[in-house]
Amino acid sequence: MTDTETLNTSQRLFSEMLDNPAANDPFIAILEKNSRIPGQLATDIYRNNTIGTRKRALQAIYPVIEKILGALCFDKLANDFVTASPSMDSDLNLYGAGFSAFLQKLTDNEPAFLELPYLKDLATLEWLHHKAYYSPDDLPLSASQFADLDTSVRIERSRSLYCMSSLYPVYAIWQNHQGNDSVKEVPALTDEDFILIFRQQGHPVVQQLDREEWSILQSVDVQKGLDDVVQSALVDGVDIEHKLPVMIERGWLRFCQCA
Amino acid sequence: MMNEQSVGMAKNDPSGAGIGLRGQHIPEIIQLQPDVPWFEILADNHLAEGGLIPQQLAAVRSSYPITFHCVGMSIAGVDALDMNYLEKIRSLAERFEPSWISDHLCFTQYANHQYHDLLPFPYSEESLAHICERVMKIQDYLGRELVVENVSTYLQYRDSSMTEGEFLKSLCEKTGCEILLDVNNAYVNEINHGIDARDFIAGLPAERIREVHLAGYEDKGEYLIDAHNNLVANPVWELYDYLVQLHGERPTLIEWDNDIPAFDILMEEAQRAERILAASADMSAKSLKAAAR
Repeated sequence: MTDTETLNTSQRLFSEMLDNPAANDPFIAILEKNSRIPGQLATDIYRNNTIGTRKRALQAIYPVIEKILGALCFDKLANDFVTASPSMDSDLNLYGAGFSAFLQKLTDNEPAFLELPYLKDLATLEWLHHKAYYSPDDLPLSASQFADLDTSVRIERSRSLYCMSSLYPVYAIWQNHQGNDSVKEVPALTDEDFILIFRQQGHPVVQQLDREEWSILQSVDVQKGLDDVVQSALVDGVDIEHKLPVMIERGWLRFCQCA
Repeated sequence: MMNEQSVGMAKNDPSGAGIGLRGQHIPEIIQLQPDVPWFEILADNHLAEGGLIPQQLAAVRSSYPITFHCVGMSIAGVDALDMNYLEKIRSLAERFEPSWISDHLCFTQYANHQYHDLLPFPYSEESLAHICERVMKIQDYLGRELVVENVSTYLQYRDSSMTEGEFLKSLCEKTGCEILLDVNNAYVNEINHGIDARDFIAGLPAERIREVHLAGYEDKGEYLIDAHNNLVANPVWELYDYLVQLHGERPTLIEWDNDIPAFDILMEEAQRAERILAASADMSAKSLKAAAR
């Protein structure tokens, strides 16, 4: 192992400066004083670069949130989020998962956001849409495999399939902001909004689920085997006999790969 | 014997002027098969395990040689090497067989905070010893020589005891790594710090220069930003011409990452680089003939 004390100090001071503008001076003190670019300007350039990269990542993931809030407001919130939330993975595509929780704090506490209580759920939908794009491929269960299936076998959701529920009409709001059409009025919900995000031919598709489909997918997530899923559905009065084959046909389920 | 992984892949011999592969151009490239000698991928944008990204890359790879350019190794970092990241790169390389893999002479993380930016460090003996150790580990892990790129910077450290060029040369000597010479970065550093770009280029070991990058900068008045959002500027073309005449032809890449234009614009930039390479080859041939007389 080599001695890295000076290198370590320079990187610690650089990192502290990037995370906190108040930590500029100790970093500037280790820079060449006669540089053409003054220390203060140099720290601004690097801080703006690193913040800008993460803000652009958020912008790419949350286009509907940006449309609803407007570019200026989104930029301010993205700046606040990025400043408070370091990236912890070298893969920038994994950055931004916490944005929905950040928005919830605003909608819970800030009077200006009281009319947008659905922001957190909408952000969750956009995050899952982003995640579905990058998820691993699966070999879905085929109808013939399903017909021959031992009922003790465990099945699970395809890894590029996500679902969520909301008390707000999040699906309609999201749908309303696709493309450049003018925004239509969103009808009030008569039931919870159950939403499926599923990658098809490379592209995530968003659609609504009915309560029975939602219930089966929830059951698949927690039950031990196909038998248990079926039993649970029968107890809840879910029409699994018709619903499950359709779900299989759509490629929503696969054999469980767990031990 | 042909490796099973090689089935459906173009012969891997990048030469001439290639283009950095960007998502918005991929459908057009797959459909029209433009006359481009090779593509370089930003490997960090291709780490998805499934979906469209690996499918599209497989389609491009079936017709073109490719190289990998990375931004996440944090070669100069003091944090432990990110083996999870290196494993993803190695696995991607096993699948798509790039001609070489490059990353930058910088650090990108500290205390596990990832900055997704190319951060400079002091060019000192201490840094050199540390980075040599890391480059050797990376090369062992990837099973190949690493190609290391010079970066553009906006600051200089008081503790630097050598130039970036001297640092790169020593790094090559001690580790066997190679150089990705970014001509735009050399020019940006000339304007930002007064480091003579021709001296920098002349001081590099010619035999270790594996690849050349060309990109556009953004002029901020007092300084230049390596923004990759513009045409290659005339002073950078002049520097490229100087490099080709001095060190000879090298596989050259047009890089464009922000405000990405239509693919035709990138083709025109690549053709301009090709003309410089062709002129140099012509000059070399004439010199050889003259010497033979």
